[in-house]
Amino acid sequence: MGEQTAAAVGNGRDDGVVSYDGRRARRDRNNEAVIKACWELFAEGEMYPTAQQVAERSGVSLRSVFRHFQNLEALVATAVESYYEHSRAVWTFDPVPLDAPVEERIDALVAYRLRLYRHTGVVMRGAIARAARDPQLVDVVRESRARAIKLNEVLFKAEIDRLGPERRAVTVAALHSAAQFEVWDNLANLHGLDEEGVAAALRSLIRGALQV
Amino acid sequence: MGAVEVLQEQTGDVVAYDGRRARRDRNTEAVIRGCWSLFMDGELQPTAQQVAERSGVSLRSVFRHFQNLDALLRAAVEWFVQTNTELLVYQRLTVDRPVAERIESFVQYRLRVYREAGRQIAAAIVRGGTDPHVRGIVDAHRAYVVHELRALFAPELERMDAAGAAVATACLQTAVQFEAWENLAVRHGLDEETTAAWMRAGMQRALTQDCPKPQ
Repeated sequence: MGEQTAAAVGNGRDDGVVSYDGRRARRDRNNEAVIKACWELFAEGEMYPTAQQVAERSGVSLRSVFRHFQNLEALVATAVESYYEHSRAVWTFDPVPLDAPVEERIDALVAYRLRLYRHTGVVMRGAIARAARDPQLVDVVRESRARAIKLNEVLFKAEIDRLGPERRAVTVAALHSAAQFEVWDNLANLHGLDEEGVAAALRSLIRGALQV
Repeated sequence: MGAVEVLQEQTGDVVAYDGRRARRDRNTEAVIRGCWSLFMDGELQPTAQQVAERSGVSLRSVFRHFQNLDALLRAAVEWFVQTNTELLVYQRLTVDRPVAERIESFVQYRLRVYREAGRQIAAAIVRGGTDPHVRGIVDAHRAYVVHELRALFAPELERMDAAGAAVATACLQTAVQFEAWENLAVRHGLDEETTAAWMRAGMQRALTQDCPKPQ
């Protein structure tokens, strides 16, 4: 097989990296193969792939890899960002009426977080791990946490307001702690709960934070 | 093998860290101390050069004692577990104590660990992201915590059905796990009493279920 990769053919994803973001409307096939190879390595738990690994996986020469990316860090940061872009549909929260009963809003949030983790969990874990030494990823992770906090605040505005302004910061923190990525990782992977068990635990933790 | 057996097997490992490497020479220890000193400064992924400088040992000496950087960082995490048994082990209360007292003692145990070793734990978790051996040590400690929680709250958990007890145990551990503390105390900047109050409330809620059963 030629330069354009086992990855591109093998993974059956034909929605190119190209389309995620207008800024990068024109990338050639090699570039796309390199990014997808990176995603594959992430998904296999290899969060610190070497350039050599990426080259081999994508079927692109090492020289070509570095024609597209200044260095490995830039490549990985681009791969993570584009993965988030790619998962945009997953990231979109299905709206639930804000005057719906609190249980219904909790269920909606739990369903959303579970879907998110199911689809992006592996790469999220990798991004969090890498962010410890890769400043380019710190912003990506921070932004994703900020987005989660914001959603909680909108969704549970009534409950947060009812607990009073002086408890606001604490409630927001507790809510974030209840539904953050690490909790899911822990429930699913350390405790081995199945998805229903995880959902039950998340519901309880969120209700605890909201004191409902 | 079910999740429970796996956890119990890993829990056994916690004990085995002790005494495995009783004899280290001074340089080796200096290198490891240098490593920890960097962790304490928030440098969670130090280079060999940084470790050499901090420990006052030449780069060559560093690699005389450790095959590579991975081996060095792994040894640093192991050394921490071995030398801090007293901090890491929970002095379990008997189950006839009131629930509130058992909860309080566990919250205080975890807070002490995080207060004294938060940076080290963060470093170990980060290393665990790339080094399965270190990840194993972190997971073994988590499994130890789960094991202690099961024993400490045995009467309450035994009153639940199996699925309910599994969720309750997970909720108990989630309430006091490192990531909860890190998020509340470090990221959101809550003071220790407020953080402790949330941990207590989380444990209380897990036991009074309230964790609705999986449908």
